[in-house]
Amino acid sequence: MVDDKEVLDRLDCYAKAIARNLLLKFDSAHDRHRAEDIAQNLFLAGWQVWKAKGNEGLAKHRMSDRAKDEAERLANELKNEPQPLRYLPTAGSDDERDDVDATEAYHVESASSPHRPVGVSALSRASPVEDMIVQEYLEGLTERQRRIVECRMAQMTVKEISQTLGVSTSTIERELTLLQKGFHRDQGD
Amino acid sequence: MADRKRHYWLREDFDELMGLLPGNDLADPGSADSSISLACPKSLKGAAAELKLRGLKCDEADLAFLADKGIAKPQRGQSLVSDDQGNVGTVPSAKVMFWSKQDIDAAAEWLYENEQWNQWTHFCWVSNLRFGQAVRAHRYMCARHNLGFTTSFDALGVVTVIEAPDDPDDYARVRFYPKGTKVEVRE
Repeated sequence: MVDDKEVLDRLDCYAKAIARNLLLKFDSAHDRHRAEDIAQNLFLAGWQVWKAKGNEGLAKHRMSDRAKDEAERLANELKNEPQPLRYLPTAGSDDERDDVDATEAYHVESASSPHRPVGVSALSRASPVEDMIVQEYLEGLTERQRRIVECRMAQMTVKEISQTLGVSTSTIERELTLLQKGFHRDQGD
Repeated sequence: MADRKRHYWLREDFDELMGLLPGNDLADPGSADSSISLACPKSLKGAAAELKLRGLKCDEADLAFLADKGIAKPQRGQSLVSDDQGNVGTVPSAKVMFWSKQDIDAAAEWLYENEQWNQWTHFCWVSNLRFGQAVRAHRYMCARHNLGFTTSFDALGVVTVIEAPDDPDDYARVRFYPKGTKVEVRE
């Protein structure tokens, strides 16, 4: 018998992690109201599948699917919002915004040193709430998955992660695929 | 926030939350009369039911009145009529209507402006809440902690907190915390 509370905890964690990553992608990690709204939508989407089918994997799959809609909506919303000053185009650099990615706002100290172990502390986040959300998500992973996610969050490539952790690139890719599909603790260390 | 605030369940919020129901945007035999369906056009009954759900006070007669006044312009079905000589023709129906989302929203706006609100819209107006945010937070809390849904914003066994916005032009936000959480009242 699967404990409903534990599954709901995991789904909630997963929803918050997706919401956070989504906002990071759009450089809006500081917007805690938006993060809350997206996480609640995702949780409710997954919750319905969990209640109807009793399958956590399907529930997470539905949440990931729903995240695409949320990303689209977010992109539309942000289009109509004033841009931060640093994104204002300067003379002769119309494409400047394309050159700026989330790493600028979410400064990564260790991305250039692949052999240095990367932890959550390597990332300077906007708020302790985000740290808490990330920690909750990471706690639901195996040790190896956790380290891979941390490296990935530090914008490292698969090859860099493979060198850092001393495992093959195909293993990293397999783990990342499983994580994207919402499978945790399916693989032993 | 350039637009004036509204405290009924706005279209975008309604569509967003109802869109979480699988297949809710597909037309099926019952969807035209359903309050929660996202499939349009809706019947007079369905449009009235949706508006009630969205926090507005109305019935089918009110919507028929708005359609007659031209405030909303739903398409009408055709009713068969015959004259004294037995010639059969059609006239626009008074009852059979096809309400699109734009028609329903036009009616919603008129009802809101004329303060045809139910108690939950009034609650949101008093508390400066966005209706959609309050519903979602409530649903989330109930689902997250297995509390079961109610038709109101009340969640039993939790502490309801309304947080004032940082920007006075923005909406306040409703949050639910576990029972026993200590909160500080601010003026």
